[in-house]
Amino acid sequence: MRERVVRFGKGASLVGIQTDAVSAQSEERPGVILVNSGILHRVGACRLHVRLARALAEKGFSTLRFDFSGIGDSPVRRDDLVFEESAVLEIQEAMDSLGASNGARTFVLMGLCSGADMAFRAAQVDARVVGLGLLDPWVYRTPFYYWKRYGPRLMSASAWTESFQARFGSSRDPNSFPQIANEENDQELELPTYVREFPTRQEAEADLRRLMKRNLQLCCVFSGGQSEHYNYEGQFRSVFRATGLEGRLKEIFQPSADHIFTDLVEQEKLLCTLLGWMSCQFDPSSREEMRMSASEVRQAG
Amino acid sequence: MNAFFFGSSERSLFGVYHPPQGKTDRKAGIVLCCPMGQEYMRSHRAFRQLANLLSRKGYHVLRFDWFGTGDSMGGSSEFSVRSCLDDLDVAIMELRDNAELEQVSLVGLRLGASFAVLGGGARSDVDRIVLWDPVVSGARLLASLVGDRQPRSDETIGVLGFPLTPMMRNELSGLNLGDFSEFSAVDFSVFVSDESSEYETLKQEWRRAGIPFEYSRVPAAGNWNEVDNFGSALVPQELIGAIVESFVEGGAQ
Repeated sequence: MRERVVRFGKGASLVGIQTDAVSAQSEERPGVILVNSGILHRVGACRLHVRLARALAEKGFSTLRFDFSGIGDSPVRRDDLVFEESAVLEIQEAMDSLGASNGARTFVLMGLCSGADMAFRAAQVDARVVGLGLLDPWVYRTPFYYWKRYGPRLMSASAWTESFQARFGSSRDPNSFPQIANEENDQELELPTYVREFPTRQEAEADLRRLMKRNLQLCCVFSGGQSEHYNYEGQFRSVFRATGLEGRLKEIFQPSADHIFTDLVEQEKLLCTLLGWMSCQFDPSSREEMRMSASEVRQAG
Repeated sequence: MNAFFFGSSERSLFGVYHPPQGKTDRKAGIVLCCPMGQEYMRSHRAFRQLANLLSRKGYHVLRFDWFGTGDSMGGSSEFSVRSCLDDLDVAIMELRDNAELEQVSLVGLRLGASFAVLGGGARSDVDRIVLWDPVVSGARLLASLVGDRQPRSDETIGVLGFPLTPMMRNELSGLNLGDFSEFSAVDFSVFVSDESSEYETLKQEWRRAGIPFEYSRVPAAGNWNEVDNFGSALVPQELIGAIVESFVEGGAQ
Protein backbone atom coordinates (compact mmCIF):
# COMPACT_ATOMS: atom_id res chain seq x y z
CA MET A 1 0.00 0.00 0.00
CA ARG A 2 1.47 3.32 -1.00
CA GLU A 3 0.01 6.57 0.22
CA ARG A 4 1.48 10.01 -0.17
CA VAL A 5 0.57 13.59 0.51
CA VAL A 6 -0.20 15.63 -2.58
CA ARG A 7 -0.55 19.39 -2.89
CA PHE A 8 -2.41 20.61 -5.92
CA GLY A 9 -4.69 23.32 -7.28
CA LYS A 10 -3.93 26.98 -7.64
CA GLY A 11 -0.78 27.71 -5.67
CA ALA A 12 -0.67 24.02 -4.65
CA SER A 13 -2.89 24.98 -1.77
CA LEU A 14 -5.16 21.95 -1.61
CA VAL A 15 -4.08 19.04 0.58
CA GLY A 16 -4.89 15.45 -0.26
CA ILE A 17 -3.73 11.89 0.20
CA GLN A 18 -3.21 9.80 -2.91
CA THR A 19 -3.50 6.05 -2.49
CA ASP A 20 -1.93 4.23 -5.41
CA ALA A 21 -3.41 1.06 -6.81
CA VAL A 22 -1.51 -1.93 -5.48
CA SER A 23 -1.07 -3.30 -8.98
CA ALA A 24 -0.07 -0.87 -11.70
CA GLN A 25 -3.23 0.91 -12.71
CA SER A 26 -4.12 0.65 -16.38
CA GLU A 27 -5.30 3.83 -18.06
CA GLU A 28 -8.58 2.09 -18.78
CA ARG A 29 -9.52 2.14 -15.14
CA PRO A 30 -10.92 5.34 -13.70
CA GLY A 31 -9.26 7.08 -10.81
CA VAL A 32 -11.47 7.72 -7.80
CA ILE A 33 -11.93 11.08 -6.09
CA LEU A 34 -13.37 11.05 -2.57
CA VAL A 35 -15.19 14.28 -1.84
CA ASN A 36 -15.55 15.95 1.59
CA SER A 37 -18.92 15.81 3.26
CA GLY A 38 -19.85 18.83 5.30
CA ILE A 39 -16.95 20.04 7.39
CA LEU A 40 -15.51 16.58 7.96
CA HIS A 41 -11.93 16.47 6.76
CA ARG A 42 -10.74 14.10 4.08
CA VAL A 43 -10.65 10.93 6.23
CA GLY A 44 -14.43 10.93 5.90
CA ALA A 45 -17.17 10.15 8.38
CA CYS A 46 -15.94 7.47 10.78
CA ARG A 47 -12.75 7.25 8.67
CA LEU A 48 -14.69 5.68 5.82
CA HIS A 49 -12.72 7.46 3.08
CA VAL A 50 -9.48 5.98 4.38
CA ARG A 51 -10.89 2.47 4.43
CA LEU A 52 -12.50 2.92 1.04
CA ALA A 53 -9.31 4.31 -0.51
CA ARG A 54 -7.22 1.41 0.75
CA ALA A 55 -9.76 -1.22 -0.28
CA LEU A 56 -10.04 0.33 -3.75
CA ALA A 57 -6.25 0.31 -4.06
CA GLU A 58 -6.31 -3.44 -3.38
CA LYS A 59 -8.76 -3.79 -6.25
CA GLY A 60 -6.56 -1.81 -8.60
CA PHE A 61 -8.03 1.69 -8.37
CA SER A 62 -6.01 4.72 -7.35
CA THR A 63 -7.80 7.31 -5.26
CA LEU A 64 -7.35 10.84 -4.07
CA ARG A 65 -9.08 12.02 -0.91
CA PHE A 66 -8.65 15.73 -0.32
CA ASP A 67 -9.89 18.75 1.55
CA PHE A 68 -11.85 21.52 -0.11
CA SER A 69 -10.41 24.93 0.63
CA GLY A 70 -11.41 26.02 4.11
CA ILE A 71 -11.95 22.44 5.28
CA GLY A 72 -9.48 20.09 6.96
CA ASP A 73 -5.93 21.11 6.12
CA SER A 74 -6.61 23.18 3.00
CA PRO A 75 -6.51 26.96 3.51
CA VAL A 76 -9.38 29.28 2.75
CA ARG A 77 -9.66 30.63 -0.81
CA ARG A 78 -9.11 34.31 -1.29
CA ASP A 79 -11.32 34.79 -4.33
CA ASP A 80 -15.02 35.52 -4.62
CA LEU A 81 -16.22 32.08 -5.70
CA VAL A 82 -19.14 30.68 -3.74
CA PHE A 83 -18.68 27.19 -2.31
CA GLU A 84 -20.70 25.46 -5.05
CA GLU A 85 -18.37 26.96 -7.67
CA SER A 86 -15.08 26.46 -5.87
CA ALA A 87 -15.96 22.89 -4.91
CA VAL A 88 -16.55 21.91 -8.54
CA LEU A 89 -13.35 23.63 -9.62
CA GLU A 90 -11.39 21.87 -6.89
CA ILE A 91 -12.83 18.46 -7.78
CA GLN A 92 -11.62 19.11 -11.33
CA GLU A 93 -8.20 20.05 -10.00
CA ALA A 94 -8.17 16.81 -8.01
CA MET A 95 -8.88 14.89 -11.22
CA ASP A 96 -6.08 16.78 -12.98
CA SER A 97 -3.70 15.88 -10.16
CA LEU A 98 -4.55 12.18 -10.01
CA GLY A 99 -4.61 11.91 -13.80
CA ALA A 100 -1.20 13.54 -14.14
CA SER A 101 0.18 11.17 -11.54
CA ASN A 102 -1.15 7.83 -12.72
CA GLY A 103 -2.45 8.40 -16.23
CA ALA A 104 -6.13 7.99 -15.44
CA ARG A 105 -8.26 9.68 -18.09
CA THR A 106 -11.62 9.00 -16.51
CA PHE A 107 -12.85 9.30 -12.94
CA VAL A 108 -15.44 8.15 -10.46
CA LEU A 109 -16.50 10.66 -7.82
CA MET A 110 -17.81 9.53 -4.45
CA GLY A 111 -19.29 11.60 -1.65
CA LEU A 112 -21.80 11.72 1.17
CA CYS A 113 -24.53 14.34 1.51
CA SER A 114 -23.00 17.69 0.45
CA GLY A 115 -20.15 15.63 -1.01
CA ALA A 116 -22.69 13.83 -3.18
CA ASP A 117 -24.17 17.17 -4.24
CA MET A 118 -20.77 18.54 -5.28
CA ALA A 119 -19.81 15.32 -7.06
CA PHE A 120 -23.02 15.51 -9.06
CA ARG A 121 -22.36 19.14 -9.98
CA ALA A 122 -18.83 18.33 -11.10
CA ALA A 123 -20.09 15.47 -13.26
CA GLN A 124 -22.36 17.93 -15.05
CA VAL A 125 -19.48 20.02 -16.27
CA ASP A 126 -16.69 17.51 -16.73
CA ALA A 127 -16.97 14.66 -19.22
CA ARG A 128 -14.10 12.81 -17.60
CA VAL A 129 -16.52 11.70 -14.88
CA VAL A 130 -17.81 8.24 -15.82
CA GLY A 131 -19.27 7.20 -12.51
CA LEU A 132 -20.81 8.62 -9.34
CA GLY A 133 -21.01 6.88 -5.99
CA LEU A 134 -23.50 9.01 -4.08
CA LEU A 135 -24.36 8.48 -0.43
CA ASP A 136 -27.61 10.10 0.67
CA PRO A 137 -27.95 12.26 -2.44
CA TRP A 138 -31.03 14.39 -3.02
CA VAL A 139 -34.19 12.47 -3.84
CA TYR A 140 -37.89 13.23 -3.95
CA ARG A 141 -40.87 11.71 -2.21
CA THR A 142 -43.28 9.55 -4.15
CA PRO A 143 -46.88 8.50 -3.40
CA PHE A 144 -45.50 5.18 -2.19
CA TYR A 145 -43.11 7.01 0.13
CA TYR A 146 -46.09 8.70 1.78
CA TRP A 147 -48.02 5.46 1.90
CA LYS A 148 -45.11 3.67 3.52
CA ARG A 149 -44.55 6.43 5.99
CA TYR A 150 -48.10 7.30 6.92
CA GLY A 151 -50.12 4.26 5.83
CA PRO A 152 -49.76 2.34 9.07
CA ARG A 153 -50.56 5.47 11.02
CA LEU A 154 -53.65 6.16 8.94
CA MET A 155 -55.03 2.88 10.23
CA SER A 156 -54.45 4.03 13.77
CA ALA A 157 -57.20 6.18 15.23
CA SER A 158 -54.89 7.83 17.72
CA ALA A 159 -52.68 9.10 14.94
CA TRP A 160 -55.51 11.29 13.67
CA THR A 161 -55.37 13.31 16.80
CA GLU A 162 -51.86 14.49 16.00
CA SER A 163 -50.96 17.29 13.73
CA PHE A 164 -50.59 16.10 10.16
CA GLN A 165 -49.58 19.23 8.41
CA ALA A 166 -46.34 19.69 10.31
CA ARG A 167 -45.00 16.43 8.98
CA PHE A 168 -44.69 17.66 5.42
CA GLY A 169 -41.56 19.78 5.50
CA SER A 170 -40.00 21.68 2.67
CA SER A 171 -37.30 20.18 0.47
CA ARG A 172 -34.68 22.24 2.27
CA ASP A 173 -32.44 19.75 3.97
CA PRO A 174 -31.21 20.27 7.52
CA ASN A 175 -27.84 18.87 6.48
CA SER A 176 -26.30 22.23 5.78
CA PHE A 177 -22.85 22.96 7.08
CA PRO A 178 -23.31 23.30 10.81
CA GLN A 179 -22.23 26.14 12.98
CA ILE A 180 -19.08 25.48 14.92
CA ALA A 181 -19.62 25.43 18.66
CA ASN A 182 -17.84 28.70 19.14
CA GLU A 183 -17.45 31.45 16.64
CA GLU A 184 -14.07 31.32 14.96
CA ASN A 185 -12.36 34.63 14.63
CA ASP A 186 -9.40 33.35 12.68
CA GLN A 187 -9.62 34.28 9.01
CA GLU A 188 -7.56 31.26 8.04
CA LEU A 189 -10.20 29.05 9.54
CA GLU A 190 -13.29 30.54 7.98
CA LEU A 191 -15.72 27.87 6.94
CA PRO A 192 -17.20 27.81 3.47
CA THR A 193 -20.92 28.46 3.48
CA TYR A 194 -23.25 25.84 2.10
CA VAL A 195 -26.94 25.39 2.70
CA ARG A 196 -28.20 22.14 1.27
CA GLU A 197 -31.23 22.76 -0.88
CA PHE A 198 -32.44 20.14 -3.30
CA PRO A 199 -32.73 21.28 -6.92
CA THR A 200 -36.24 21.25 -8.30
CA ARG A 201 -37.31 17.86 -9.53
CA GLN A 202 -37.40 19.15 -13.10
CA GLU A 203 -33.84 20.44 -12.83
CA ALA A 204 -32.65 17.20 -11.30
CA GLU A 205 -34.31 15.17 -14.05
CA ALA A 206 -32.77 17.28 -16.78
CA ASP A 207 -29.31 17.04 -15.22
CA LEU A 208 -29.60 13.31 -14.72
CA ARG A 209 -30.83 12.78 -18.27
CA ARG A 210 -27.73 14.55 -19.58
CA LEU A 211 -25.50 12.27 -17.52
CA MET A 212 -27.31 9.15 -18.67
CA LYS A 213 -26.79 10.17 -22.29
CA ARG A 214 -23.06 10.10 -21.50
CA ASN A 215 -23.53 6.55 -20.24
CA LEU A 216 -22.44 7.55 -16.75
CA GLN A 217 -22.77 4.81 -14.14
CA LEU A 218 -24.52 5.67 -10.91
CA CYS A 219 -24.48 4.01 -7.51
CA CYS A 220 -26.79 5.55 -4.91
CA VAL A 221 -26.77 4.37 -1.32
CA PHE A 222 -29.39 5.72 1.04
CA SER A 223 -29.24 5.51 4.81
CA GLY A 224 -32.08 5.49 7.27
CA GLY A 225 -30.76 8.87 8.34
CA GLN A 226 -32.46 10.50 5.38
CA SER A 227 -35.86 9.01 6.11
CA GLU A 228 -37.58 12.36 5.80
CA HIS A 229 -36.93 12.06 2.08
CA TYR A 230 -36.42 8.37 1.33
CA ASN A 231 -37.85 5.19 2.80
CA TYR A 232 -37.80 2.31 0.29
CA GLU A 233 -35.29 0.79 -2.11
CA GLY A 234 -36.26 1.70 -5.63
CA GLN A 235 -37.55 5.17 -4.78
CA PHE A 236 -34.75 6.95 -6.64
CA ARG A 237 -35.29 4.71 -9.67
CA SER A 238 -39.00 5.36 -9.50
CA VAL A 239 -38.57 9.14 -9.34
CA PHE A 240 -36.11 9.30 -12.22
CA ARG A 241 -37.41 6.45 -14.37
CA ALA A 242 -37.81 8.76 -17.35
CA THR A 243 -34.16 9.81 -17.42
CA GLY A 244 -32.84 6.64 -19.04
CA LEU A 245 -31.08 5.32 -15.95
CA GLU A 246 -32.16 1.71 -16.43
CA GLY A 247 -29.07 -0.48 -16.58
CA ARG A 248 -26.91 2.36 -15.27
CA LEU A 249 -28.16 2.62 -11.70
CA LYS A 250 -27.39 0.57 -8.63
CA GLU A 251 -29.62 1.66 -5.78
CA ILE A 252 -29.22 0.37 -2.25
CA PHE A 253 -31.14 1.24 0.91
CA GLN A 254 -29.57 0.66 4.32
CA PRO A 255 -32.48 1.54 6.61
CA SER A 256 -30.59 0.63 9.77
CA ALA A 257 -27.71 2.98 8.98
CA ASP A 258 -27.63 6.54 10.23
CA HIS A 259 -26.53 9.42 8.02
CA ILE A 260 -22.81 9.03 8.74
CA PHE A 261 -22.82 5.23 8.98
CA THR A 262 -21.67 4.91 12.58
CA ASP A 263 -22.72 1.26 12.86
CA LEU A 264 -19.79 -1.04 12.03
CA VAL A 265 -21.98 -3.61 10.26
CA GLU A 266 -23.54 -0.89 8.13
CA GLN A 267 -20.06 0.39 7.28
CA GLU A 268 -19.12 -3.06 6.00
CA LYS A 269 -22.28 -3.23 3.89
CA LEU A 270 -21.54 0.16 2.43
CA LEU A 271 -17.95 -0.69 1.55
CA CYS A 272 -19.06 -3.99 0.06
CA THR A 273 -21.63 -2.20 -2.12
CA LEU A 274 -19.20 0.42 -3.40
CA LEU A 275 -16.35 -2.03 -4.02
CA GLY A 276 -18.63 -4.50 -5.77
CA TRP A 277 -20.06 -1.77 -7.96
CA MET A 278 -16.60 -0.48 -8.87
CA SER A 279 -15.39 -3.94 -9.82
CA CYS A 280 -18.51 -4.73 -11.77
CA GLN A 281 -18.58 -1.48 -13.72
CA PHE A 282 -14.96 -0.45 -14.08
CA ASP A 283 -12.74 -3.50 -13.79
CA PRO A 284 -12.37 -5.11 -17.23
CA SER A 285 -10.89 -8.31 -15.77
CA SER A 286 -13.78 -8.65 -13.33
CA ARG A 287 -16.28 -8.19 -16.15
CA GLU A 288 -14.45 -10.80 -18.21
CA GLU A 289 -14.51 -13.24 -15.28
CA MET A 290 -18.23 -12.71 -14.83
CA ARG A 291 -18.83 -13.22 -18.55
CA MET A 292 -16.82 -16.42 -18.46
CA SER A 293 -18.57 -17.79 -15.39
CA ALA A 294 -21.96 -16.94 -16.90
CA SER A 295 -20.89 -18.77 -20.04
CA GLU A 296 -19.76 -21.77 -17.94
CA VAL A 297 -23.11 -21.80 -16.18
CA ARG A 298 -24.90 -21.80 -19.52
CA GLN A 299 -22.70 -24.62 -20.83
CA ALA A 300 -23.18 -26.63 -17.64
CA GLY A 301 -26.93 -26.12 -17.94
CA MET B 1 2.64 24.08 6.96
CA ASN B 2 4.07 20.89 5.63
CA ALA B 3 1.97 17.71 5.54
CA PHE B 4 3.97 14.51 5.30
CA PHE B 5 4.32 10.89 6.34
CA PHE B 6 7.02 9.89 8.79
CA GLY B 7 8.17 6.87 10.77
CA SER B 8 8.84 3.41 9.38
CA SER B 9 7.22 2.27 6.14
CA GLU B 10 5.22 -0.40 8.00
CA ARG B 11 3.94 2.05 10.57
CA SER B 12 3.87 5.23 8.58
CA LEU B 13 2.30 8.15 10.49
CA PHE B 14 0.65 11.21 8.98
CA GLY B 15 1.81 14.53 10.38
CA VAL B 16 1.59 18.24 9.73
CA TYR B 17 4.55 20.40 10.65
CA HIS B 18 3.88 24.08 11.28
CA PRO B 19 7.14 26.05 11.29
CA PRO B 20 7.34 29.35 13.17
CA GLN B 21 5.56 32.13 11.31
CA GLY B 22 6.84 35.67 11.14
CA LYS B 23 10.13 36.92 12.49
CA THR B 24 10.29 35.05 15.77
CA ASP B 25 11.73 31.57 16.09
CA ARG B 26 11.63 30.62 19.74
CA LYS B 27 13.70 27.51 19.10
CA ALA B 28 11.03 25.60 20.93
CA GLY B 29 8.79 22.80 19.70
CA ILE B 30 5.38 21.47 20.63
CA VAL B 31 3.92 18.08 19.69
CA LEU B 32 0.13 17.95 19.65
CA CYS B 33 -1.48 14.68 20.74
CA CYS B 34 -5.01 14.16 19.48
CA PRO B 35 -7.78 12.05 21.03
CA MET B 36 -9.36 8.90 19.55
CA GLY B 37 -12.57 7.94 17.74
CA GLN B 38 -15.23 10.60 17.23
CA GLU B 39 -13.29 12.84 19.59
CA TYR B 40 -10.52 12.86 17.00
CA MET B 41 -12.98 13.79 14.24
CA ARG B 42 -14.53 16.50 16.37
CA SER B 43 -11.23 18.06 17.42
CA HIS B 44 -9.39 18.11 14.08
CA ARG B 45 -10.26 21.73 13.41
CA ALA B 46 -9.38 22.81 16.95
CA PHE B 47 -5.95 21.21 16.58
CA ARG B 48 -5.35 22.96 13.29
CA GLN B 49 -6.19 26.25 14.91
CA LEU B 50 -4.05 25.57 17.96
CA ALA B 51 -1.13 24.66 15.71
CA ASN B 52 -1.61 27.82 13.62
CA LEU B 53 -1.72 30.08 16.65
CA LEU B 54 1.32 28.51 18.28
CA SER B 55 3.34 28.70 15.07
CA ARG B 56 2.44 32.39 14.77
CA LYS B 57 3.91 32.86 18.23
CA GLY B 58 7.18 31.41 17.01
CA TYR B 59 6.90 27.73 17.93
CA HIS B 60 7.68 24.70 15.82
CA VAL B 61 4.55 22.55 15.98
CA LEU B 62 3.89 18.98 14.91
CA ARG B 63 0.41 17.48 14.95
CA PHE B 64 -0.01 13.91 13.85
CA ASP B 65 -2.40 10.96 13.65
CA TRP B 66 -1.78 7.88 15.80
CA PHE B 67 -1.31 4.56 14.05
CA GLY B 68 -4.76 3.26 13.08
CA THR B 69 -6.32 6.72 13.13
CA GLY B 70 -6.84 9.52 10.61
CA ASP B 71 -4.53 9.29 7.60
CA SER B 72 -1.89 7.20 9.34
CA MET B 73 -1.36 3.59 8.38
CA GLY B 74 -3.23 0.85 10.14
CA GLY B 75 -6.83 -0.13 10.55
CA SER B 76 -9.00 1.46 13.22
CA SER B 77 -9.06 -1.80 15.16
CA GLU B 78 -5.24 -1.73 15.38
CA PHE B 79 -5.28 1.36 17.57
CA SER B 80 -3.82 0.60 20.98
CA VAL B 81 -2.40 2.44 23.97
CA ARG B 82 0.92 0.64 23.63
CA SER B 83 1.30 1.58 19.97
CA CYS B 84 0.35 5.18 20.75
CA LEU B 85 3.21 5.43 23.23
CA ASP B 86 5.55 4.15 20.50
CA ASP B 87 4.09 6.68 18.07
CA LEU B 88 4.65 9.49 20.54
CA ASP B 89 8.30 8.57 20.77
CA VAL B 90 8.61 8.65 16.98
CA ALA B 91 6.77 11.99 16.76
CA ILE B 92 8.93 13.64 19.42
CA MET B 93 12.10 12.54 17.64
CA GLU B 94 10.68 13.68 14.30
CA LEU B 95 10.07 17.21 15.55
CA ARG B 96 13.38 17.34 17.37
CA ASP B 97 15.23 16.27 14.22
CA ASN B 98 13.24 18.51 11.89
CA ALA B 99 13.58 21.63 14.00
CA GLU B 100 16.95 20.76 15.54
CA LEU B 101 15.67 20.96 19.10
CA GLU B 102 16.94 19.39 22.31
CA GLN B 103 13.58 19.43 24.04
CA VAL B 104 9.92 19.74 23.13
CA SER B 105 6.62 20.28 24.92
CA LEU B 106 3.49 18.19 24.50
CA VAL B 107 -0.16 19.24 24.36
CA GLY B 108 -2.72 16.45 24.56
CA LEU B 109 -6.49 16.46 24.43
CA ARG B 110 -8.57 13.76 26.21
CA LEU B 111 -6.79 10.41 25.66
CA GLY B 112 -4.06 12.32 23.85
CA ALA B 113 -3.33 14.02 27.18
CA SER B 114 -3.15 10.66 28.92
CA PHE B 115 -0.71 9.35 26.32
CA ALA B 116 1.36 12.52 26.61
CA VAL B 117 1.75 11.98 30.37
CA LEU B 118 2.39 8.24 30.15
CA GLY B 119 4.76 8.52 27.20
CA GLY B 120 6.39 11.87 27.88
CA GLY B 121 6.22 12.46 31.63
CA ALA B 122 9.49 10.72 32.40
CA ARG B 123 11.45 11.85 29.34
CA SER B 124 14.38 14.18 29.67
CA ASP B 125 13.66 15.69 26.23
CA VAL B 126 10.15 16.81 27.26
CA ASP B 127 10.02 20.01 29.28
CA ARG B 128 6.31 20.69 29.55
CA ILE B 129 3.06 18.76 29.17
CA VAL B 130 -0.31 20.44 28.79
CA LEU B 131 -3.29 18.24 29.58
CA TRP B 132 -6.49 19.51 27.95
CA ASP B 133 -9.71 17.93 29.29
CA PRO B 134 -7.66 14.81 30.06
CA VAL B 135 -9.01 11.30 30.46
CA VAL B 136 -7.91 10.56 34.01
CA SER B 137 -9.49 7.14 34.39
CA GLY B 138 -9.58 4.80 31.41
CA ALA B 139 -12.08 2.63 33.26
CA ARG B 140 -14.44 5.55 33.61
CA LEU B 141 -14.07 6.44 29.94
CA LEU B 142 -14.68 2.82 29.05
CA ALA B 143 -17.86 2.73 31.12
CA SER B 144 -19.17 5.78 29.29
CA LEU B 145 -18.30 4.30 25.89
CA VAL B 146 -19.70 0.85 26.50
CA GLY B 147 -22.79 1.98 28.41
CA ASP B 148 -25.06 -0.86 29.41
CA ARG B 149 -23.79 -3.21 26.73
CA GLN B 150 -22.06 -6.33 27.98
CA PRO B 151 -19.67 -7.41 25.24
CA ARG B 152 -18.11 -10.86 25.29
CA SER B 153 -14.46 -10.81 26.25
CA ASP B 154 -13.44 -11.50 22.63
CA GLU B 155 -15.97 -9.19 21.02
CA THR B 156 -15.19 -5.96 19.19
CA ILE B 157 -17.98 -3.46 19.59
CA GLY B 158 -18.66 -0.23 17.74
CA VAL B 159 -18.63 3.06 19.60
CA LEU B 160 -19.87 6.06 17.65
CA GLY B 161 -18.53 4.67 14.40
CA PHE B 162 -15.22 3.25 15.58
CA PRO B 163 -14.26 -0.21 16.81
CA LEU B 164 -13.47 -0.81 20.45
CA THR B 165 -11.51 -4.05 20.56
CA PRO B 166 -11.00 -6.36 23.55
CA MET B 167 -7.36 -5.22 23.61
CA MET B 168 -8.35 -1.55 23.75
CA ARG B 169 -10.84 -2.25 26.53
CA ASN B 170 -8.22 -4.14 28.44
CA GLU B 171 -5.67 -1.36 28.05
CA LEU B 172 -8.12 1.41 28.88
CA SER B 173 -9.34 -0.32 32.00
CA GLY B 174 -5.80 -0.19 33.38
CA LEU B 175 -5.13 3.44 32.50
CA ASN B 176 -5.17 5.80 35.44
CA LEU B 177 -3.34 9.13 35.51
CA GLY B 178 -3.80 9.23 39.27
CA ASP B 179 -1.36 6.34 39.54
CA PHE B 180 1.28 8.12 37.49
CA SER B 181 4.42 8.52 39.53
CA GLU B 182 7.52 8.27 37.33
CA PHE B 183 8.11 11.84 36.28
CA SER B 184 11.13 13.93 35.46
CA ALA B 185 11.60 17.69 35.47
CA VAL B 186 8.46 18.31 33.44
CA ASP B 187 6.07 21.18 34.04
CA PHE B 188 2.52 19.87 34.01
CA SER B 189 -0.40 22.17 33.22
CA VAL B 190 -3.98 20.99 33.31
CA PHE B 191 -6.66 22.94 31.43
CA VAL B 192 -10.25 21.83 31.85
CA SER B 193 -13.40 23.20 30.30
CA ASP B 194 -15.47 22.15 33.29
CA GLU B 195 -14.94 20.68 36.73
CA SER B 196 -15.53 17.01 37.40
CA SER B 197 -14.92 14.52 40.20
CA GLU B 198 -12.31 12.93 37.95
CA TYR B 199 -10.23 16.10 37.99
CA GLU B 200 -10.62 16.42 41.75
CA THR B 201 -9.19 12.92 42.09
CA LEU B 202 -6.31 13.77 39.80
CA LYS B 203 -5.43 16.87 41.81
CA GLN B 204 -5.49 14.94 45.07
CA GLU B 205 -3.45 12.04 43.75
CA TRP B 206 -0.82 14.23 42.13
CA ARG B 207 -0.46 16.43 45.20
CA ARG B 208 -0.04 13.30 47.28
CA ALA B 209 2.61 12.03 44.85
CA GLY B 210 4.41 15.36 44.88
CA ILE B 211 3.89 16.00 41.19
CA PRO B 212 4.05 19.75 40.54
CA PHE B 213 1.28 21.01 38.28
CA GLU B 214 -0.80 24.04 37.46
CA TYR B 215 -4.54 23.71 37.13
CA SER B 216 -6.87 26.06 35.25
CA ARG B 217 -10.53 25.93 34.51
CA VAL B 218 -11.45 27.83 31.37
CA PRO B 219 -15.21 27.62 30.80
CA ALA B 220 -15.70 26.40 27.24
CA ALA B 221 -17.43 23.73 25.22
CA GLY B 222 -16.02 20.34 26.20
CA ASN B 223 -18.53 17.80 24.93
CA TRP B 224 -15.99 15.95 22.81
CA ASN B 225 -17.53 12.52 22.67
CA GLU B 226 -20.64 13.29 20.69
CA VAL B 227 -21.73 12.67 17.17
CA ASP B 228 -24.48 14.10 15.02
CA ASN B 229 -25.43 13.95 11.38
CA PHE B 230 -22.57 16.21 10.42
CA GLY B 231 -19.78 14.99 12.65
CA SER B 232 -19.58 18.64 13.59
CA ALA B 233 -16.48 20.23 15.00
CA LEU B 234 -15.80 21.79 18.35
CA VAL B 235 -13.45 24.76 18.52
CA PRO B 236 -13.37 26.16 22.06
CA GLN B 237 -11.66 29.45 21.38
CA GLU B 238 -11.24 30.50 24.99
CA LEU B 239 -9.44 27.35 25.99
CA ILE B 240 -7.25 27.26 22.91
CA GLY B 241 -6.33 30.87 23.56
CA ALA B 242 -5.49 30.11 27.19
CA ILE B 243 -3.15 27.28 26.19
CA VAL B 244 -1.37 29.49 23.66
CA GLU B 245 -1.02 32.29 26.19
CA SER B 246 0.38 29.89 28.79
CA PHE B 247 3.20 29.03 26.40
CA VAL B 248 3.89 32.63 25.50
CA GLU B 249 3.90 33.82 29.11
CA GLY B 250 5.93 31.03 30.60
CA GLY B 251 7.65 29.42 27.68
CA ALA B 252 10.88 29.73 25.80
CA GLN B 253 11.74 33.16 24.46
